Order: sequence, then C-alpha cells, then structure tokens
Amino acid sequence: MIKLLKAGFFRLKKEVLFWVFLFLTIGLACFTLCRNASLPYEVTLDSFFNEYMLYIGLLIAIFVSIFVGKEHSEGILRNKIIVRT
Amino acid sequence: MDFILETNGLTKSYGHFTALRGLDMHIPKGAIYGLIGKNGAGKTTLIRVLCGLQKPTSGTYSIYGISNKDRKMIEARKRIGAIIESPSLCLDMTAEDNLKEQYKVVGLPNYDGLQELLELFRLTPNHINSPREKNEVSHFSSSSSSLDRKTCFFPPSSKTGSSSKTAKHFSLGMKQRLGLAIALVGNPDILILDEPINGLDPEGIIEIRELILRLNKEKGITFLISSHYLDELSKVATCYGFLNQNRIVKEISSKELQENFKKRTQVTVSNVKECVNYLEENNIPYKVISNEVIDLYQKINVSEFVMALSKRNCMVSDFQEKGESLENYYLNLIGGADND
Repeated sequence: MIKLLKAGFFRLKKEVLFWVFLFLTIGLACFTLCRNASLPYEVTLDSFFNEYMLYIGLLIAIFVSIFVGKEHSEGILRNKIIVRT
Repeated sequence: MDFILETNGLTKSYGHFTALRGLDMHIPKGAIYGLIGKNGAGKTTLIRVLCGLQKPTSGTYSIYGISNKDRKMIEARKRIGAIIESPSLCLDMTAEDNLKEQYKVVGLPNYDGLQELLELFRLTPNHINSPREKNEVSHFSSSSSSLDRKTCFFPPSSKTGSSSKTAKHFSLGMKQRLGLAIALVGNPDILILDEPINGLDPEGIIEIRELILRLNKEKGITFLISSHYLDELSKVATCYGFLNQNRIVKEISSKELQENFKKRTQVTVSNVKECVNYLEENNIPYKVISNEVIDLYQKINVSEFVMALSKRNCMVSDFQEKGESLENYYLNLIGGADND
C-alpha cells in the first residue's frame, strides 16, 4: 500500500492538472478572503468556510475523477494488479 | 524437463461461455514460448489468468512449482513482467518518469539500472531525438500542446538527462519499447507479451524481435508470447503451443517442428507429362502444381533425374528445395482439429 501511495504521489507531482487546481484553490482562497475582508459588515468564520468548501469540493471531484479515470483507461491500474503491490 | 510455468486442466468460464477448457501448457525454463491461436481461442484470457487479473473457474497453474492455490503465489508472481493488450503507460509522463513510477510501484529503494534500461530500449534523449524517432515524434507534436508546456514546468533531471517528450508523443514502436522496459523493472524471470508487434512497422518489428532474443540470451528471461504473426514468431520462438477451441491442441519445440516439416523439392519442367511418367515409374511421391511445376516429396539424385528427363525430351529449368512454413503447419493442425 505504501508503494502504491509513493507511486501515486510521484504521478501526482507530474500531473499538470494537479498544479493548475492547486493554484486555483489558493487563488480562490485569497479571492474569498479579500472579498470578505472588504465587506462593510462582519462575516462569521462558518459562512466564510462553507462558501469556500463548496468550490473546493467541486474542484476535488473533477480532479479525482480525471486522475483516477486516466489511471484506469491507460492500463496503469492493470499493471499495478499484475505487480501485486 | 524443468518447467517454469505449467497449467493443469485450466478452465475459465463466464456464465455459459467457456473461454478456457481444461488447458494444459508447459513452458520450459529459458524458452521463448509462442502461443498461437485464432481470435477468441482464449489466448488473452489465459494470459490474464496467469497474471492474476482473473481467477480460474477450475484447474490449477503453477509458477516455479508454486501452485496458484498457494499463498506464496503472490511472491512468485512478482517474478513476472507482462504487457497485456497494450503497454501500461502514463501518457503524460516522459519515458524516464514512467520507469521511475514503476520503480516505486515495484518498491525498489533507488533507481539503479534505470539508465541501463533507457539505453537498452533506446529511450534516452539522444535516441528519442535521433532523426528516425524525431520524424515519428514530430508528426504527432507539430502543434504545441499543453503537455509540452507541462514538461517545461518540471526541469529535466540533470543526473540522467531525461527527455521532455512525453509518452503521448511517442510512436507505437517507442511505446512498445517503453512498455517492455517497464515490464523489465524489478528483473523478472518471465515476461508475458500479448501481441507485442501488433501495428508496428517493419523496423519496429525487427527491433522488438532483437530485444526479445537479446533478453532471452543475455538475461535468461523466459518469454510467453502470443501473436498472430506466425512468420515473425517462428524467428524467435523455441517452443509453440497451438490453441484451438479453448484448449492447447499441440505443444511442440521448434526443433521437433523443423523435423516434422515435410521437405519438398519444387521442379519446373518443360514437359509435365513425361516428368509424371518418370516419377510414376520410380515411385516418387509428387504433386502437380501447374502445367510446368511439380512438387516432389522425396530426396532424389538431381543429376540422375535431370539426365533421365532430358532423354525424354523434358528440360528442367528450375530446382528449389522448400520447407513447410509454420503457417501451413498451423493450418493443417487447426484444420485437423476442427474436423475431429
């Protein structure tokens, strides 16, 4: 299992979509923070957090389905089963 | 004989459909075993079962004498490398990164031997950027894609000087070579290749053939190769297994096969009638192919034959020794089995 995780992280680092989504989420966090800070009224932590989490969840769902789907379609998963890690 | 891989009465069924029917196969150590059969004969199912991708319905198989029902089979299967249907590549990564990922999957502590693999399979930047490979690659990468930009984002490794070409831009031959290199990570003793030369150009076929022979000779790797290219298979295989109606109908070594091949002599004559008369008189088995060509199925004294025919006003213009091809043998065997 550790071997699979190590291989997964290695592939993750090479995945351009991962970096795009990572910078997108950081950007989104900064944008949400700036927007809420500029509001004339106080925003509770809960509403700020929930608003941000909605977008993050959506991005994670898109990324995971593409990342795992690619592993399946390119036969990488089959290779891992043969190696029996 | 020392068998590295054996199956005994291996059966695989999907509902009412039986893909393998009591299959018995014996692969000797160090052999290049050619698996030959029609589409749907069960070649890929057999390979999938041997690689542990599917469980057999009944029957057993053993690798190094370890049965599939033994828990040690997990360890034994680590000595197998395989390419099933298509090479398992991460298309967004370079050849070197694909190999590195496989090193991690196999669980090797470092990248020892990676450079040798890249050299052996001609996947180093020098090879990839060579005129021949460049022509093949540039055809695919004429329009700069996001993937090219991606590889620029990650600087190439200075240690091994990795190429920035991702596997997506590789030709089929390069992908196949990379697939073989990946299968070799961890130094397996058995390599299972399912249709390794499908779709390759003549040069690619020669490359793969030479690699197989080299790996077999230098590293002593045992190969199980399924292919429809019988002529090509006959150039590398040392043993054959003929698969028909979901079972092995014949297992034969290439040496036995050569001995079994019916040798024939093809002669071209000016007068077939006179030639046939001579053959009948001397009880020489023959077959008339055309009004000039006759096949003889017995060794003859050439000078005697030519002189005897010239006395009968029949000139011999061509004389060729011919052997039966693997293709003919397969067709006769399968035809015979079908008629049983």
